[in-house]
Amino acid sequence: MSSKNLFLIGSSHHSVPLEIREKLALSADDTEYIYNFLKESKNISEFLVLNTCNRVELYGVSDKEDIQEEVTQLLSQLHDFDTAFYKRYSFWKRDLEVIRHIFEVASGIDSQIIGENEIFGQVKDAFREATENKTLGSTLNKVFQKSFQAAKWIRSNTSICRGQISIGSICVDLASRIFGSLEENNVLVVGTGEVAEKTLEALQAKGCSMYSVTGRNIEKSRNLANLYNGSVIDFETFQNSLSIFDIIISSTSASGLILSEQSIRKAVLKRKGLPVFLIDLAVPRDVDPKSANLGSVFLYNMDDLSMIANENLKNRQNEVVICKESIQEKATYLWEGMNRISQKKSTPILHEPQEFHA
Amino acid sequence: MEQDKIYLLIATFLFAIGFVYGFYTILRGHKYQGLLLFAFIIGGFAFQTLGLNIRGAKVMSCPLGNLFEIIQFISWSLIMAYIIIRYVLKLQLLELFTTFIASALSFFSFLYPQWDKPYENSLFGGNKWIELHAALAVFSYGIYALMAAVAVMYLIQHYSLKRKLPSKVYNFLPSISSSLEGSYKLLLTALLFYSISAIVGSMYWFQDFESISKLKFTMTIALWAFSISLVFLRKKDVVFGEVFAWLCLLLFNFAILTVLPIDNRSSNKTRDTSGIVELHESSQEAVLNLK
Repeated sequence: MSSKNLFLIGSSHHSVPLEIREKLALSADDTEYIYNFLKESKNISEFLVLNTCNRVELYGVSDKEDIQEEVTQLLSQLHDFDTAFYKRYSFWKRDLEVIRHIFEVASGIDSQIIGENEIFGQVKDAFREATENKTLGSTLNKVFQKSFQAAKWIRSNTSICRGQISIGSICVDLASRIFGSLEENNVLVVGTGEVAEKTLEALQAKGCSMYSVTGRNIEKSRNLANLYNGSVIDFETFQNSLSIFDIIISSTSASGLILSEQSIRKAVLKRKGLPVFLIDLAVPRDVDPKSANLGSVFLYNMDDLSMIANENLKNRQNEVVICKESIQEKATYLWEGMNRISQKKSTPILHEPQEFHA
Repeated sequence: MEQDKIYLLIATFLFAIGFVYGFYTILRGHKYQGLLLFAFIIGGFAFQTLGLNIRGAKVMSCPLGNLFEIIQFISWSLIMAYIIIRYVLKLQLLELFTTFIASALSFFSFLYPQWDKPYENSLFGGNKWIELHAALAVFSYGIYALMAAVAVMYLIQHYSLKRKLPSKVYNFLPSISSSLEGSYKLLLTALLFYSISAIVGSMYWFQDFESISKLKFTMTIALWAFSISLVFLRKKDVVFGEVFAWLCLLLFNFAILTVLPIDNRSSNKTRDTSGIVELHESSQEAVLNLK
């Protein structure tokens, strides 16, 4: 099989609106069906299905020139779509373009949230699934193995993954810049909002283990505390023990301030210079903004966190151009190497650039 | 140019190249290769040791006879302290700040050729205890310099957190808690060396107090008192955070100031046993003129 017969048909967040993506998404049964169906196909020698919430892609190798029609029909029928309708929302790529595409996908530069890590695991899962189904041959096997190497190289040698963009991760980054290791830090959550929970999750992932929760709704507070093996503090009296907490996350739906500058000042005095990180996730705000003037208080509200997220995202976007150049180079190198092999089957592949082996 | 100076100049450039490489990489949002930067530091340190060694052999004592030598020795002590302490402190970017201060001090020493005045050989009159006293005092200045570097790291991180500056560069800096702890540990270490130096020196002060330069003696005591007060105030949680970091910087500047009135042995008027080297009225005037 010549490597020149690589093809890719798919749809992704780039060109397909959410409501159509929902319809194009494959269930586990759909994927199984595709595997079983294409295994029988005499025109497709190798294939792999990549199915995530933002993309459905079918990678394959075929000698047949008009293979596009066959796979388009298969996928249209699967979704009960008209072929023309499916074509409108899908893309078709061949050969070098396919290699470049999967390198970009695995590296996270084609993701909706640029540089996210999840996609790398998803591509690996898809590769494992195809291996289990025995639908991979030497061509796709090589292309995907190289895409993992390229992704690792991109992640280690560019800034595409640097700078957090979710509120929880940004809070963890900031907390680390204040306290270093977070294992010894005492965390208080005021209110039980979803973002606060996500932030707790991110803090826990970073090693935080001492949590207390307080809120007007004692039941919700208890549930959240139980989730993280924390304790519950009475909402009426929690301000008396503010000084023992290093990180305070507030996300109540109260219409006024919950933490006044005076109560924070009192806590800060008791802490004898130890810093305190206040995360005000509530809108309207829970923490008096004047507290930020206290020397050892680091107060961040939703606007501040969003500003950091946007800045980090901008930095990642700037990095995309650099990543694409590297990927183009690597994809071309692989493509030419594969072609040389198919032309002179006995000739071993040339040494790849050193940097490729990340 | 003499061989010792050539080596010292090579060391200065190696520190500077290391700093430029690290700083440029960080500015681009990447972490520099720690080993490469460390190689520049070790290379610079080797040349600096060689240069000071040749100079020491020439003057037949520890080369601390003029301002040029003292600044070079402080720069050498800073690197020495960094190499020893780096595993204890484990502070990110410490090597970068160390190369900056080391190269800045070293360049500064080359700024005025008149600072490298010749002086009589055997600076300490062959007395190894005075030599030890002087070497320990200057070594403690190196640790003060490292303390200042860590305090600067604290202040930059603190400023960026307070101002909510989004640049990813700040993520490379150590946390404010660890840099504050680091600067306190360095203050204790510097004070320890300075105190040992003062104890060794005091044996001679008692014997011949009249020959001691009063200005140098006062400054020595003032630096020691400043350091011990800062330790005490920190221990009692009276000063902390930003104020402590600024006081650390002030302390280092004061330590450097105590070095400035020092000049060479061109006069045979007195031998100063209160501080690092003797102080002459003429040299005080010279320093004032420079200012």
